[in-house]
Amino acid sequence: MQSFRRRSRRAQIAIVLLAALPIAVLLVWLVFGRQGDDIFDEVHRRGALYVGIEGDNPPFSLLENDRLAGLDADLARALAEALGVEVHFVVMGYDGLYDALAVGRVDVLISALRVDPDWWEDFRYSVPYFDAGQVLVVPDGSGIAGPADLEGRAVAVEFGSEGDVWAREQQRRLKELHIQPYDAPVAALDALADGKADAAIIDSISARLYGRAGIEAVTTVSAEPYAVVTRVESAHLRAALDAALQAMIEDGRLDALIARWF
Amino acid sequence: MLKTLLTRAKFRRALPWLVRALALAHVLWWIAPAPPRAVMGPPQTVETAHPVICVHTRLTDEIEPWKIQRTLQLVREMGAAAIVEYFPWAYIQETEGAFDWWHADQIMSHAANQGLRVHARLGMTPDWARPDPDVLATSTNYIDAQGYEAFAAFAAAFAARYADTLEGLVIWNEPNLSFEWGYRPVDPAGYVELLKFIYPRVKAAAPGVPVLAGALAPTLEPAGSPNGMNDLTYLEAMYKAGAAGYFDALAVHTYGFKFPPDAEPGLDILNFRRAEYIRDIMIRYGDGDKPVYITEAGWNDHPRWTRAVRPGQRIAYTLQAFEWVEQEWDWAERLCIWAFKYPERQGNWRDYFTFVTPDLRVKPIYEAVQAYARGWEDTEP
Repeated sequence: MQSFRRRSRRAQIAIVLLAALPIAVLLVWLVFGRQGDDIFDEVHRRGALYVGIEGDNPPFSLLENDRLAGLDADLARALAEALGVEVHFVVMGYDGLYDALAVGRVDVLISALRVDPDWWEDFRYSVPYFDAGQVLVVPDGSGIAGPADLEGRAVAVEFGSEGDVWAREQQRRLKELHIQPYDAPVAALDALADGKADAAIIDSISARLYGRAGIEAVTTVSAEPYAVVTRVESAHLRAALDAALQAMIEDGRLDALIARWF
Repeated sequence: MLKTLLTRAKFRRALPWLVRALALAHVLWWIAPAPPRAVMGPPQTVETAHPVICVHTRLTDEIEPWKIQRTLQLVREMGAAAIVEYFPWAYIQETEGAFDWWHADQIMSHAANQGLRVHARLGMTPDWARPDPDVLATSTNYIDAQGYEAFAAFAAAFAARYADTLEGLVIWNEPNLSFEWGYRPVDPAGYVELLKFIYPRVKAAAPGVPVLAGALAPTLEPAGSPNGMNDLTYLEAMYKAGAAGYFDALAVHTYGFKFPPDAEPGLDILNFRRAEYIRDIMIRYGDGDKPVYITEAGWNDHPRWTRAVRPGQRIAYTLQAFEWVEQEWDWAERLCIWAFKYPERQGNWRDYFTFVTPDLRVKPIYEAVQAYARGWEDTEP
């Protein structure tokens, strides 16, 4: 009887292991199966990181004295340096960026590209390096700290923008919210700075670039993270880029880069 | 081995738990909320001060009837009197001799219920009506003389079935582009041959349904381009091939790109008023009495697409375009803006043509057009 039970227990274990085997194989394939891209080694062999970049999207990329400049360009140089390779820019139109990465014309995209789950099947994103989402901008010392404080206030927005959409949604939630639409983000911020509005909901790029003093972005109301894009297979390269980016975030170099361009 | 493991005693111990699990699953299934239903309400009418307003919907891949209904309800509430919708032949007649009208019925019945008129764009050739792939590989946009008769029969059946709701039947889409013509060199005479097959059959089946030709892509393709043919050149070639007797109205595509709607047209630029050149050709060939339906137009407000404008400009230009058509183009019956909504997010600049998000949230342009159409406050473009 004892011997039968032992055999039975062994048989049970064998069945469990057999049943688990396909699941384990599937998990291994899911985790490692698509990571056959040796682009990380290739980048080091050739000594250059090929970066797809728009080239005409200031302040992220622009030409300055015949040299590619901007936050994305500087970030690409810093990341390449962390990898111990040169950076080689491949400048192209916005519409061609993902295709260029897909066919291997470039190793990565660093071009103010937002994290977009729709591309998840073929591409992966790094740690975000910039948030271009909508921010709540108010006059210094206004006491407005967040959306809840907008009750009864006049809010400037760019007509038809994401900020406008957000403000209209708030308008349905709050008892009273006056939306003041303007043709351009700068016009909305001008209205705020001139005291014609109590707050503005504007994309963070426009808010950061706005030159006049006396107003400040107090909180983000909707995130739009920008990240470095790699092919889904480029796991090693992505890990190295993430590590380099994380180090830049922690030691303040990323903030310094952003401050340089905004 | 299984017998060893699952002894009768073990099974007896497990049975009550199995029964409980099944009962629980049944209860969960029973109390789960039912999927939304699309119950047909009383017939509606469109309230609009500007019947020229029309939108191109994208319900082809919208599977759930409640979303079809809600989309068309939003169209009606916005104040658009008509829609353009694509009805792929390959979906409706997947096999030769058998029609599956279910999805088309959903769209047409809900459109009728909302009081909307419909321009049905017909295209996409089923496998059985295309050449044997072992002989010639073709795309679904391929149609040749062997398929004309079958396509004409389909168009006639479609027109007869939905005659009460149809405002027009648009034959094919942008045949002046190579990829829309099955990745072949474009062929105006071939397209006219297709019209010659379709027109008499549709007229016999549903005399009151207008047949719309054209729907040409605005393009500046140079002569000999493998990608397509300049739309003005193509239209002239259509007339020379005898098209005039085989359509009742012309479908026109005219996008504004970076230009406001009143920007002067030019033969070397693409803008909204390019439609005036199309009209000139119609008049020159003695077809000035036929109306035009603008079945695609609009502006895009993607933040970085090179042909996009700012969101506020898009709204202003769209409203100005409606006014322009009403005041300047008495030959244009409708201005149908591309596109009301996509079933899914496209993840690119195309999303910035729409009025409503895939999850049915309205954008500011929707509210602006609605205010204009319904004559509400602040309606001046």
